[in-house]
Amino acid sequence: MGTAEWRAAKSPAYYKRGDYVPGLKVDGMDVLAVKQACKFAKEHAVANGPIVLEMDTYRYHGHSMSDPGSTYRTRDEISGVRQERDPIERVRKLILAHDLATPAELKDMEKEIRKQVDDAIAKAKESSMPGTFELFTNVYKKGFGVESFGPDRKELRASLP
Amino acid sequence: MAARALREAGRRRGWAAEVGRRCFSGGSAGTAVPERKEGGGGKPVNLFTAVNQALHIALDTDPRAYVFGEDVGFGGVFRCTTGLADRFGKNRVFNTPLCEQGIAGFAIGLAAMGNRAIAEIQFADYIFPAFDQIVNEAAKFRYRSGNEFNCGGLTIRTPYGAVGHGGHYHSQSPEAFFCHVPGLKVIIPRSPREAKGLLLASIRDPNPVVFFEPKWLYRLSVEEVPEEDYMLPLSQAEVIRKGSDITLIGWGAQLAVLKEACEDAAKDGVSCELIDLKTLIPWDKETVEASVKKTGKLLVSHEAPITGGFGAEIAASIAERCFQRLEAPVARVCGLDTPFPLVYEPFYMPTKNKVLDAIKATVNY
Repeated sequence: MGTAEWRAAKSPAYYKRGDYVPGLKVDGMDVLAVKQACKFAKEHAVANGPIVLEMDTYRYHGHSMSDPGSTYRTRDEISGVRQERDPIERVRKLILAHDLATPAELKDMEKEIRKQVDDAIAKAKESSMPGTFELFTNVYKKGFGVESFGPDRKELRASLP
Repeated sequence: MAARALREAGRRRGWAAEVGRRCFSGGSAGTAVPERKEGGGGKPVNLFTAVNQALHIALDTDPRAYVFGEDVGFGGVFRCTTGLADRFGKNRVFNTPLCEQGIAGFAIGLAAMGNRAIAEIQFADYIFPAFDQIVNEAAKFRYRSGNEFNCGGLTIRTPYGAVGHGGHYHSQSPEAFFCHVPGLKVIIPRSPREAKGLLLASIRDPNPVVFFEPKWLYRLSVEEVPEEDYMLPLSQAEVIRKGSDITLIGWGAQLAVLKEACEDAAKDGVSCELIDLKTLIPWDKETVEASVKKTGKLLVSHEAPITGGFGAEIAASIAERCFQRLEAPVARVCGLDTPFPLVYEPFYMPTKNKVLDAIKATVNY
């Protein structure tokens, strides 16, 4: 997780590594660039065949508790990317620069979205646990399944739904 | 907690039973197919021809069925796919690169889009590069998506077992690895008629199936096989020889060895009951249990190494269910705990004499 790409690969220019399969390197932090690249790639794939898309993105946080995300890079690097490449900030600046919305409208929008998320979290926390039968559901197609056994493997038996 | 979960799930048995444990969905094919042909009929053919017939029928009855794998385009190394590409075209029967992970991954995607993907792994020994795709993707596809997606149309065919000269890359029996994976079904036929009926049932079963074919029997085993479309029920074992002194269980090619052992034991006055398990997961415990309750003794035999083999699971389950009826420890006659050997193959194998020896030891316990 923390292995630098130049250590992981002899050539980290992954988009070039498809040999005869052409590749594109895309700024994965730029939503419009991603859209254009996907449009181009789809048209190319339908007309000519496969194409590699290397989407260059940045991970702000470490992968897990064992990866605080700060042993192989500096905090300045992370905050630098946040300031200069953050995909949402980039869109905000574009919208304001083209007068598509006012800062107040964007603020309201953010408030509304934050409320939606908070409500969803509250609802999820209030909800009861899924029925215990869910543990056994969809292991196999309904009716084409198997019996499951309790810890003693004799007294407790159930057909998996 | 777990106990309550099981009880609650148990209450739901009603509607699960309505769907019927033994019925098969024809999927888009949808036509009713006779489930069982009694007493054979049809021409005598060998096992690879029976598989070939089943594949012809599968492709013929479902326009969304596909057969692919290494070299299947020109009939496959065991001739199981002969004539398919000519009849159904290269868009439905085609060769893949030498990449088992790719075959399995592609097959899962194809099945997830509502097709019947019939993939061949050239030897079961080569299935391990595809293990991650089968275990982590195919088996969990339905569960992980809450039934929104599934790859139930997936069937992976692969030849397994000894051939007398295969050495360690062409002889293994890796069925136990897959029996450890809820969400998969594992099927092994013992003869041509069984192979055709079980393969068609596997292809049409709405769950991913790993179908092991006994490669030793491809040419060796010949019997009358009905020419028409028929299916044999999955998860249903078959008592193929009635007896009263000891129960013998096996699957695939090992049944032939057990059969001979039964006949020899009969000469010594020991009456063996022989069961073909056919489906390893989900397996038919009831049939085995009923037999062991009658005979009081059990012998399990398979080619795979004894440690961690599926025989261990059967022994444990039956010990739990029939503890008070068992008159001797469950005997296991299996492969040795070594890589599959070349010159010592006869020494490694669970041969008739080893089985006979175990029968006698168990009966005289």
